[in-house]
This record gives sequence, C-alpha cells and structure tokens, in this order.
Amino acid sequence: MILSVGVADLVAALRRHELWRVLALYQLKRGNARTKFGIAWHGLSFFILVGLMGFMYATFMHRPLDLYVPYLAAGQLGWRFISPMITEGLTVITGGRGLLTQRPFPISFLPLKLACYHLYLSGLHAIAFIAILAIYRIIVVPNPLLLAIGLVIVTVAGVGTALLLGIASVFHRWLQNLIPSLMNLAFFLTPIIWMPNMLVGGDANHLSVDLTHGFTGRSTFVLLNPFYYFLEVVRGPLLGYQVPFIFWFVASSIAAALMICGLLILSRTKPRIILNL
Amino acid sequence: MRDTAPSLRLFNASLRFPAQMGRVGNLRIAREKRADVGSELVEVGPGRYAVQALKDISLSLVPGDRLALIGGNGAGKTTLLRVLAGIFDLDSGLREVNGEISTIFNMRLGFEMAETGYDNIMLRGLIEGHPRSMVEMAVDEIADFSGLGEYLYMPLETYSAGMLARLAFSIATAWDASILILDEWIGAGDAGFLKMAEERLITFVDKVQILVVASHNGAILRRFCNKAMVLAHGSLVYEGEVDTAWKWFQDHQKAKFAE
Repeated sequence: MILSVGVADLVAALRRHELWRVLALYQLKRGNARTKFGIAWHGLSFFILVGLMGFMYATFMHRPLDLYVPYLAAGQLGWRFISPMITEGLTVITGGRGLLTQRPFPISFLPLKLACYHLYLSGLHAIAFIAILAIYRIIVVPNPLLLAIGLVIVTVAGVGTALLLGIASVFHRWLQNLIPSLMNLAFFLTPIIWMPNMLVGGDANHLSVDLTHGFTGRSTFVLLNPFYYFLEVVRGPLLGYQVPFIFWFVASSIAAALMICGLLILSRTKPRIILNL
Repeated sequence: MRDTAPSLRLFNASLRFPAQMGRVGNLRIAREKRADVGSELVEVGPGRYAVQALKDISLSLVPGDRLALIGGNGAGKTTLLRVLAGIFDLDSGLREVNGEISTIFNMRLGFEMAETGYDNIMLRGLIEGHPRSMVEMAVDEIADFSGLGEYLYMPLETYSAGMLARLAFSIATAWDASILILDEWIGAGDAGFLKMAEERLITFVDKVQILVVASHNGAILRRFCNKAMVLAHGSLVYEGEVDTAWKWFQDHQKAKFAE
C-alpha cells in the first residue's frame, strides 16, 4: 500500500510516547527557566493579555462583556493550538536534525512531540481561561464529551499538518519564510476577535455563524475559511453553544485528509528526508 | 527470538548526499583540482552535484568481529557507521541486520541542561529506546558509576565538562547490546575516571558480540579491534588485519604528502 511506510513510521512513533511526553514537558519548562513562577508564565501571559483584550474589544465593538469575553478567550485558546501547529510544524523536522542524525528515529515522532507540547500549553491556557471567567464572574457550561471529540479532530489535523509542512519544508525551505506571515493574516481573517454575525448580519447574540438568511457573499467568506471549522469544534463545546453538524463533518474530513497527505508525503520521501536535513 | 546469532551485512552499499546548500556554479571549472580529502563529487543534473559518500561497500560481520574503520577526513567513515546503525537508508545495495544495535556517536545527545542528572539519566535511557521501567532499574548503577553523588540532584548547567562526560559515558555504557557502533572515543574526564572508564569499556565491549569503531587513533583501534577496513573517497580500498591496515593507511598518507 502506498501509505504503509508512513503508517509504520507513525505507529513506531506512537509507541515512543514515554519519550515525547518527557521532551514536551522539558520544552514547556525551558521557555520559562529561571523565572519566578516558571511554567505558570504560559498561563499568566494568556490571562493578562486575553483578560485585558476582552474588556477593550468588548468596549470598542459594543458587545456585552459576558458574551464577548468568553468568546474571545475560547477563540484564543483554540487559535494558540492551531496556529503554532502550522508555524512550528514547518520547522519541526529540520529542527530535529540533532536527534534524527544520531539515532534511527521515526520521523513522525517530532510532530507528535510538538502536538503534545501544545496540548500541555493549552492546558495552562485553559486554567487562565477559567481564571478570566472567574474575574468577570461569567459562567459557561462546557460540553466535555464534544470538547474531547473536538480536541481529537484538531490534534489529528495538527499532527498531519506538521508532518506535511515539516517534510515539505525540508525540500523547500522558503515555506518557512512564507507561511508564518500568511498565518498572521489568517488570524485576522478568522472569527477570533470578531464574531461571524457582525459580518454576516445575523443574530448578534448567536455565537455560531447565522445561516438563516442563506448564503451571501459575506457568509461564504466566513465559511470558506478552513480554520473556522477547527475553531468551532473546540470553541462551541467549550462555551456550550450548538455547532451545526456540518462543521463537525467538514473539520473531521479536513483532519483526515491532512493526516493522509502527511503520511503520503512521508511514505514517498522518507529515505531522502535525513539526507536533506 | 534470540535463536539467530547477531550479524551485520552490507551488499554493494552506495549512498549519495545531495549538495544543495548555496551555489556550486564554478565547480565545473574547479574540477581540475582534485581534492585529497572527501568523497567524489558527481554531477547529477545541470549545475547540480551530489557527494558520492559511499560506493559499492560490502561487508559481513558475525559474532566475534571487531571492525576498525580507518580513513582520512571525509573518507566516509561516519557515513558508513550511520548506514550500519540504520540512520541513513541506502540509494542502492542492501543492509541486513540481526540483533540489537547500540550506538555512541554524540555522547551528549539529548541532554537537557536545565534538568537534574537523575532526570537526564531517564531522558537518555528513553532516547536509547528503553522503556521507563527498564531505565528505573538501571538508575542506581549508573549513578554509582558516575561518581557524581549529590550533583545528580543538580541541573547539568552546574557540571563541568569532565562531569558531563562522566555522566554521558556512564549512561551510554549502561545497557548491553549485541552490536555496538562507536564513532571516536571519549576524551574528557580526569585520570581517575579515565582508568575506571577504560575498564568499564573493556567489559562493555567484551559483552558485545559485534563491534564497529571509527577512529583516527591507531593505538585504540589496535587494542579493541581484530580486523580493519580502510576507506578512501567513499570506497573500500584495503581490508585486513588492524596492524597491516593501519600501516598501509599511514604509508598512503605519507605518499600523498610526498607527491
């Protein structure tokens, strides 16, 4: 089968979870070594930035705090997982040179480690998320089961993307220059700080895109953005609002496609990857 | 699963590295000056070159074989070791392995300087591919041998170069392997540790059934190996006893300088 090399590599990498979990933890600690509060800084900076931003933007855009603050915080939480899986995924294989040229290692070990690191980081952001809601005295009722499914979808997509882009940028290094700047743009194009219905013109108190008026140019703009689907399957369950089934379907289809493409490129290039590092 | 004896074989192994860093535009003109070192440069397309790192190498190692790899800079020693270890796949030819391979290339591989000595023992054990439970069983022995005592509770940042070498060496030689591949020997550490290390290395190497070592140190190769191969420009140019191979290599080096 054309995927067999990639699948075998992924299975071998999954078996080494003891190692990538430890490495992810050390990476987390390394960022804030020798600082007061240590790894808590990851959460603290989220708390400070998003906490203040929520208040400022709610005021600028005339949104009620109890609607806007959790929306922004949940969106940031999701974006801060999705975005680095792409920008850091680009360098995850070339950056693993030290390890890959010293021992025989499955290539997908590195994207798995990256995903694990960002899941840990999201855990710290989640604590900050709760703290922000507590400060503003806002109550949300998450749906844990759907949240778990959403996280699995986003993680699979993230690992697939990091594998795909990480390998592609071994052979085309310019991707490492191009894509991060496009991701900055994507942040503003995706409904994170703005709400889709502010653009689409639907019910402003409805957090998911309002499609009761059918497809318009503006709603198509929102719906053509793949990041929106991934964000919704995490943000919806976290805030407890209803996400239409089509979002789950699109997000999981793209996730599966990304993973298959990642494994495909891995199967086709595996022997050449290490020689080109 | 251990009914077959360890073995390590290569059949007509060849490997090219793509040279894609920067421009190699003037290389065609410069080809007149052939390098004394390195492997052959081959043109693989218009203006695109590759380093023919290994060319048609065949070897067969069985239990009891202790192979010394001899060669000048860029002859292909390290590349061959990495092919044997399974890090590089071959362009053509075949690699056949039976048994567990252990490698010591970079003694400090994966060290996390902000973490303690004990944490690094676990980390390195996991990198070597051992499960957590197995590393836990070996921790005390590694800690004892390193002689680092209370320093094992301190982050590696506080270690001197020699102390780091002690820890690295103690970890690297803690587990038995049937096939051992080594690139150069360790230089750091004080006299007391070096003596201990030498003894440990001898018992470590003795337990190993197949050994492959690349080194520029003739004395070390003579001491640990019982057969030798000389590499030049990625090809196997001499095969035989360690003493004669070393002498052959030395004579050739001299002849080159005399030219």
